[in-house]
Formats: sequence, C-alpha cells, structure tokens
Amino acid sequence: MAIFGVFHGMEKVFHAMEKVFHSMEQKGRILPRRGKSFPCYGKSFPRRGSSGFLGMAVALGWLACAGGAGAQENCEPPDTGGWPSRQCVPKAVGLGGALVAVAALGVASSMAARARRGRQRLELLLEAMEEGVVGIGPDDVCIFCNRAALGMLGLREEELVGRRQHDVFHSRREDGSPYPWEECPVRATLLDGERRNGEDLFWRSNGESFPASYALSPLLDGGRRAGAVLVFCEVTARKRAENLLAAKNKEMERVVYVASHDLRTPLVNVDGYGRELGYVVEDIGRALDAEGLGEAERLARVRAALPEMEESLKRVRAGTKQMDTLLKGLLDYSRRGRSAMQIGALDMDALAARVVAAMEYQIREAGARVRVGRLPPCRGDESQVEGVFLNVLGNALKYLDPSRPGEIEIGGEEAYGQSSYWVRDNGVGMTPEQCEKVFELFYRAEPGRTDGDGLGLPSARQALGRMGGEIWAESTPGQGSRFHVALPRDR
Amino acid sequence: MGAMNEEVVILVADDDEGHAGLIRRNLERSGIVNPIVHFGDGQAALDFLFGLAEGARREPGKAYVLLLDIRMPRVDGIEVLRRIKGDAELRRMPVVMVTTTDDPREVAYCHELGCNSYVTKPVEYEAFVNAIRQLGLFLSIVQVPRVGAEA
Repeated sequence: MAIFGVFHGMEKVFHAMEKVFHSMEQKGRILPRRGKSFPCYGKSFPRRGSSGFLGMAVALGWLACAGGAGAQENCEPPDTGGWPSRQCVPKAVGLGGALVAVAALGVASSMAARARRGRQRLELLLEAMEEGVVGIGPDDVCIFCNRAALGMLGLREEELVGRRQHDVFHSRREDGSPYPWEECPVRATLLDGERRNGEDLFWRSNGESFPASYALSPLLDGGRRAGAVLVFCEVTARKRAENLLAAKNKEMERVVYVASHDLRTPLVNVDGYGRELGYVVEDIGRALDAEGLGEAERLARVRAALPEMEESLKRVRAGTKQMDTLLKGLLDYSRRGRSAMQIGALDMDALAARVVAAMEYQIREAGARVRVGRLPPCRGDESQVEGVFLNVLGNALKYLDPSRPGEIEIGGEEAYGQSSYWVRDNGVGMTPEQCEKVFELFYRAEPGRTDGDGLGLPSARQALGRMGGEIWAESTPGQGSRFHVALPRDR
Repeated sequence: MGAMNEEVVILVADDDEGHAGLIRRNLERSGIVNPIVHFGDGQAALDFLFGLAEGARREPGKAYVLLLDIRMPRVDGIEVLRRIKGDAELRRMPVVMVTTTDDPREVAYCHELGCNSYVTKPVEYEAFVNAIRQLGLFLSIVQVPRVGAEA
C-alpha cells in the first residue's frame, strides 16, 4: 500500500503502476519489470477513470493475498471474465484477499480524495505565487499558467493557453526587432532538458515590455521530456533602482572630476599669480634698497611694477570668483537633485503651450519660428518637466545659426511603452562628442558666445532620471540638433 | 641649459588666459625669449595650423612647437592632437600637452596619439616652474623640424 502513499494524484499513480508492472493481462497475470510473473485474478482496466482504478485495487488485493499466502506459482485462474474466482484459492486466503481488497478500495477512495485535495492545494499554491508560472509543451504551446503570469502579461487564460509562448509574449527585442525563435531560451530547454535562468524582455498584451527574471526547468513525464516550466517575475522596479544607482555613481564621478579639474583651473591661477605678486614685491624691495638711486628713479621703478601687480591681483580675484561660482553651482545642483517630486499625469499639449508662451520674448528676439505638434500625455513632475522643456527650448534658441531663419519643432509620439518627445532645431549643431558632453556638469560649448551656468542640461538629465525618463541629443554640425525626451507613458 | 633656437615659434593653445600668461611668464623667466602665439581654443589653433580661416596662419618653412591644453571649448586638445598627427606634414611638429588633468587614461591616450611630452599643470608653484624649466630644456634639445620645408 505504501506505493499509494508516495504519489499524489490518480494520473501519477496510474503512471507509477505502469512503471512497476509492465502490463496486466486480462486473465490475471502481472508481469513485473523484474523477476517472475505473479498469478493474479484481476481485471484489466481502461487506462483512465475510477472504474479502472477500482479494478486495479481489487487486482492488487488479490496480488497481495496470493503473494502473502505463498503464491501458487502456476495456478491458472479460471476464466471468470477477469474477476477473482474463489475456486482457485483456499477460503481463508480468499477471505484475507477480500479484506485486503476492501482495504485497498478504502485506500483507493481516500487516495482519490487526497488527490483532489492535492490538486486543490497545488492550484492554491500556484495562484498564491507572485511569480508567473507557465507550463509549456514540447511544441512551445502553453499547457497551463497561473494568475500571476496572466496578470503580468495582461492576458486572459484563453489568450495564452493553447498558444505558443514565444509568439504571445516573447516575440520582440527591446528595440522592437524580431526575437528569433532559434535564440529563445525556452527552445533550448525544450531541446536539451537543461535548467536555465536569466533575464529577458517579455511583452504585455498592450504593447509594453518589461524586463523579467526567469527560471526554466524541464517538465519530465516518466523520465521523458514533455516540455518546460517557465517561472518568472518582473524586475522593472529593481532594474530602475539599478539604473538610478548607476546614474548616481556616474554623477558622483563627474562631481569628483569637476572638483579635481574645474576647481583646479582657477586654483592654478590663484597660486601662480600669488607667486607672481611675490616676485614683484621682491623687485620693489630691491628697487627701494638699491644704492646709488635717486628718489625719482626709485619711484619710477616702483611705479613700473604696478601694472604687473594689478594684472596679478586681477587674475587672483578672477580665480577666486570662478571657484565661488563653481562651488555655488555644485551646491545648487545637489539641492535640485534632492527636491521633492509630485508625479502625476501630464497634459503635454498644455505644458508645451505654457513653455512656448514663457519663451515668447526670446523666440521673438531670435526671430525664430516654433511649431508644436500634438504631444501624447505622460507621467512626471509638472514643474520639473516644464523646466526640462524650458531648458531645451532655450538651448535651441541660443544655438541657432544666425545665417538662416530659426526653425524649431516640438513633437512627440508613443513608442515602446514610453511617451517620447523631441525638440528639433536648424541651428549650428554639434559633433557626436558634444552631444554627450552637453550633459556634463559645467560643460559649455562656447563660453564666450552665450551665457549660462553649465548646469541646465545636467540638471534636466538628473530630473528626468528621477522620473524614470531619459534625455539625449542627436545632431549634425551645421544642420541642427534634435533633443529627445522620454517619459513614462500615462496609462 | 642649452640655448633654444630662437627662430622657433612657441604656440600656446589654452582657453584660460591666466594659464597662458603663467606659461609665458615662466618661459621668459627660464630665459626663453622665443616668440609666443596664444590661441583661446582648439579651433583657433587648427585655423592657424591648417589655414582654415581668415587671419594669421602658419608660415611655410618656419619651425613651431605647440603647448596644448586638453579641455577647451569648441575643439578640445585631444582632437587637435589627432588632427596634427594625422597630417603628413604637421605630424613632425613637437606637441607638448600642458593640462590640469593627470588622469592616467588620458595621459596614455595622448601618448598613443603621438604627443611628444605631457606636463601636468601643478598647483605648487615650484613644481610648475620646474615643469616649465624641463619644458624649456626639452624645447632646447629637440631638433625642431621646419614644418612645410622638405626635410
């Protein structure tokens, strides 16, 4: 009976029995995989269903009884249509066998109940799991799934079960290009039966994607590969935190660089011209102490040193002022990075209209034309996003090419689960290196030409990073630039 | 200290006028009296060297040495160095990087591109003078080719 205890479901027991006994003959002979055959007065049974199982229990009862009584090896059971015949065995043995059979029947029925409970528990467990679970057949078709999987993928059960998982939620890469089935990890596990885990991009039914951490295990059926189980969870929150951390580290590096280089530049001047002043003071001292010089000549020498002293003092003062500006900027940047944000749905058409209205004076001064297309809504902090667009539009106006009328276009679209916007101009443009450098703290393309603290675009990038967005630039020197701003879509 | 060929023109590309002034003052204090030409950024240096714009440009047959800062607006020193070393004629002109950055990666990169020397602008004035002196020594012993003349 122990054999019943170790298995949890009818199907499993059934298959387990098939493992133990090669087959069961109509006339009651059980052929074990190993050793001699047992005489048996049982009935063969249909492969599925409770009646067949009952027959099995009875057969086992007889088997136990016959085996326990020393088994009459060569006893050919009479043809009773498969049911036990009392004639073949002594009464006592027959009674014992019947009892065992009844016991077996009891076990069988409690087995069935346990199987039901087991299945229920299994279902509860699957439903309670936060991880998505998808059972996949050898042909990549989904056999079953749990609620978490459907929730994350935004699907109904009938939209997943019976379909190929690769087509349903694994068909594209991050850039939208096709994800070839030949490279699918599910395919690999279906082929080699190996466990796999990693991270991949899954797609929701609404066209959004999310990074998922997954584990793949082979589904084994009696040692034979029958598919795979995919367990996954969304890592968006974690990924976002990782990206934020990476951005913060880069920012830190940048701050250290600024401190070491940009602050050092004025320091070289303060120190250098301080020493120059020292030399002049020595010169003046020598002139005053020089023997054989008339008063007028002494005065002339001292006076001659004045321009050099003035020059040096000017440089020292300029250096300290530069350091002060840099330190104030650093402090300001750090303060902006810590201000509280209120994330909400943003009407970008209205926001862009406000930005253009606020820049009206500068637009007229530059003689530029600004066109604004329809913009999709997004999620973000209103004043921060407004600040970003003010900054980008301000830059576009600052770096227009004086040799042609300024054309600026603000546009947007929804793509890859994000709302993305652009500000395109026909200004002087930038080299590819400058496209990245403009986001560095205190970088300024042409310090003489325009005013600015070198904080605008770095602050924009910082603010967007905190809102789960991005900003980057593309440009062709002499033709114009295009700044891209991406923000989470408003659902 | 060997005497420097007085015909050699010293070109200084540095966006910080103060730094350029310190370089000039210290070269003079070290006894170097060669003419010095200053450029406010990399583009101005390229304009002069390659004759890209109106205004002063290098004279064929004259010898030049370039003291080059890295961080400059418009075109940075790395790009200027790359352009010079990529030019069949100009590549023989000695280029000395004079910069506040002592980032080993940047130093290695400049050497890879073919700069002749690399001097970090030190905050310590004595060290700065020493660096410039060494530079003066360097300038005096390098056989400066006449750019534009057949070697």
